[in-house]
Amino acid sequence: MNALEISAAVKRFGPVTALAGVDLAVPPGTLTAVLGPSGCGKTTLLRCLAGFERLDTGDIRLNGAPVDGPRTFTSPHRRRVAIVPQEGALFPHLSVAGNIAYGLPRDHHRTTRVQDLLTLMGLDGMENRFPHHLSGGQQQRVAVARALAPRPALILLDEAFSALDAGLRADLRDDVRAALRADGATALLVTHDQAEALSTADQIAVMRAGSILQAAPPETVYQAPATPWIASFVGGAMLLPGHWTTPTTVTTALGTLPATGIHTTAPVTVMIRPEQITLSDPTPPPIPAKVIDRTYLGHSALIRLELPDATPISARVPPNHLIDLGSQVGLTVTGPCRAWPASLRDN
Amino acid sequence: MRKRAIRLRPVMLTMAVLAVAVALLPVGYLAIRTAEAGWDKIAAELFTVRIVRLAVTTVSLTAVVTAGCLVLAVGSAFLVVRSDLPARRLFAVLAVLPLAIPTYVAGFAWRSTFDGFEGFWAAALVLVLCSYPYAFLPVAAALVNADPAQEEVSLALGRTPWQTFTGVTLGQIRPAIAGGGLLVALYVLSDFGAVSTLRADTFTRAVFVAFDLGFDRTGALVLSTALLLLALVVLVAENATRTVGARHASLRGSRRPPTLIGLGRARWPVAVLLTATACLSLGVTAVSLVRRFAEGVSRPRGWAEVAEALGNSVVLSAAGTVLTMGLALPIGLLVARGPGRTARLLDRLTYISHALPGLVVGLSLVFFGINVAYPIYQTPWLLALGYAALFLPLGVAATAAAAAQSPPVLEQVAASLGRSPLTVLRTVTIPLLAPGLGAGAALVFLACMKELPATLLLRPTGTDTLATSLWRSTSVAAYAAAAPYAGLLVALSTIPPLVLAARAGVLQKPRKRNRS
Repeated sequence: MNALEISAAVKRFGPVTALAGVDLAVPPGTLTAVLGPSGCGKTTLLRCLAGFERLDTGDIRLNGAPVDGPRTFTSPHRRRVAIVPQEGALFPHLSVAGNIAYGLPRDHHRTTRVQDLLTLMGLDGMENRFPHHLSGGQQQRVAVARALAPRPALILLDEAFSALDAGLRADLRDDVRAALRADGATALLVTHDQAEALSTADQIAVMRAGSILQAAPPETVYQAPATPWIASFVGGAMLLPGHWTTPTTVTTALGTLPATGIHTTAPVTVMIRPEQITLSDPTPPPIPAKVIDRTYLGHSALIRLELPDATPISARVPPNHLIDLGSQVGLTVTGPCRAWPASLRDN
Repeated sequence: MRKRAIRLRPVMLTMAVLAVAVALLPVGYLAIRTAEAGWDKIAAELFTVRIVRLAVTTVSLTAVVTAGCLVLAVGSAFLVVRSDLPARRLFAVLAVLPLAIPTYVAGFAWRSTFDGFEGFWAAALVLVLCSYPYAFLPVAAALVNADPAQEEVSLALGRTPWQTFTGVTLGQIRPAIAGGGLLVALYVLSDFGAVSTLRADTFTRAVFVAFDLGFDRTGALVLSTALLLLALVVLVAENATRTVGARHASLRGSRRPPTLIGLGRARWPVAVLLTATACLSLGVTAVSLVRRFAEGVSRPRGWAEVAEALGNSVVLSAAGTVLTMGLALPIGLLVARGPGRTARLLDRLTYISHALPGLVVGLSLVFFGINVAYPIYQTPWLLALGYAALFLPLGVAATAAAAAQSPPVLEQVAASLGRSPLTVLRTVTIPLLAPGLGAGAALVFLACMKELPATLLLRPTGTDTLATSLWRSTSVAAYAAAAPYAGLLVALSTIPPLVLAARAGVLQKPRKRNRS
């Protein structure tokens, strides 16, 4: 049984449709990232799951039990769905221990559970501090521990790491991931950061304009995106026009390449990732190109190129690969690419 | 994204409507009695030269005092919060302490110090000096909380400090100025102490004279109704200056305190100017009280009576405070959490009785007690009801300000952790509101202690408070006997203003200006 099942969820605010029929299943003990640009409806989805908003139609089931549907609505405090808001929202009048214990029943297990969570989240010795004495990262750790404490059916993390600086964010992300696993918790992380979703989640649900376009493990979403839009939103991709030449190859401006996808006679859109492109000497030129620009990224560099027919191409190269702007290079494409009917170009 | 307040709203709305009904009891009384009088009698009272003269005096006094208070309050608040004035915290305390002095005590002190000190300008001066803290407190709090980043941006864009003050700072504190101005204006409209001791002919004094002489009930009612209409005009005017702003405190990080403006060579002259203001607002009354006090308690058993009056004052004011804050809580929460036309209307309605003279409120509740609620007639609870009708807006404003300190997201988190709405109210909302509610309660308690006319009418027979004993002594010219009551009243009343000043943040340790 899935920990969470959403089917055909619709939510409108006046003329605006925030959720246009969302379907999603989250297996127990896993982390699903809902990834989408601002305004795609992911925050509304989260508020509906928490019970702060009611669906217009459709239903939500937690561990098989309906909590929102045509004839049922469970209020937020009876759902066992804990939230971790973006800014943490710790209770300013309670200590760290008081915050973590807030959702726990008053019994003898209370202190033990608080101690376990302090250790789990790396907060040992901070139980008597107050929120205003904590750094942003520590506040967020307490907020996660507080949500974990009552062992809720589902934990909702609302852009929970986005207010922190990069180094802190990666550390916290890993620790939260480990803590969720150790506690066997099921969680839903709402984010607009694709790197965060790819690195943290067991499943990514890509959301756009109130619908979930694809829900799959990160590898699948990256390697076999369901639509060209997902391809360019998650990880960045070049989309080139082309057509099938054999059932396993497509021909594009970069030549004839191995590809996967449904074979038709119609024109196709072909996705190529920048890391599939390797640069070589222009003699003998496999595919000639001119270097337009270079963006240094530390762990790699992104080269912007132009084919003789002015088609723009990006290539990811090692950071020490020095290259002069305006020089001529040769391109090779490695690995298979993915093709969709050209009619899906904007989906 | 639209947010809905789902929980507790119907309950809160019902309780808020009930609370407003309590506040509007005196207005109902006015309406009933005025209607009984009949149109001819009303017209005969209303369209007279005397009414026009009273109206002109009342409106001018309100305008002059409000303007004077705002200039004094904004100026001193800016100096205390934003400049490198010496002894800033001392000046902050001196600026709120006049709240402790009832206007009848101040009026009396001035008149007994300076011969022939009476009339319009005398009343205006005393009222400005007594009521500018009502504007100083909100303006100073707004200056403490204003985001210095906005001013820095303005300066960085090449605006001069003066342009920044008028263009940015005044904009940030405009709601506080309007709110403070409203409190002062309504206070002046309903003030009885200064205008009666200093003989300025306003509506309130005329109402009192009409009632006191006993034979002119209709006249008094018509005058009260006219006063009520004036209060409505003030309310509407203040409403028009309001703009929608952020209602909830930010959860993120701690805000930097503003950098202080160097006064340079003006530093000491400014300090002298503020000291002079304090001498006028506090010194005259203090010296006068001490001089009277030195003449001794003139009667035997004096101290026992004083102690009894003190006890009565504390008990009655406490009852009034509890009732007022209880009624204010649902309205304040509604205003902060479910803003909209209904909440706003309920909030505004509470101000109407606030503008009525305590005498009218007192009489209307005597009427209510005899005819409707006889079981509480002649008990402290009827007086508490009178205090609630008079001072509800003070409690509502404090509750709404406090509720803004507890953002709704905290309640949502609490609910998501499995706590029921009532538990959330008890464990999150109330604890976060408590300090703000405490400050509001302090203000209401202070107002109840100082209140005179309604207390005279509604206290259980034979119960004397500090205010009524003081009034009795001064009206029979037993000035020396009055001094201990006045002294105690003022001394006890200094505590709430200090609490309020601390809450407003004006007593925080000043931060040295960063000169690097």
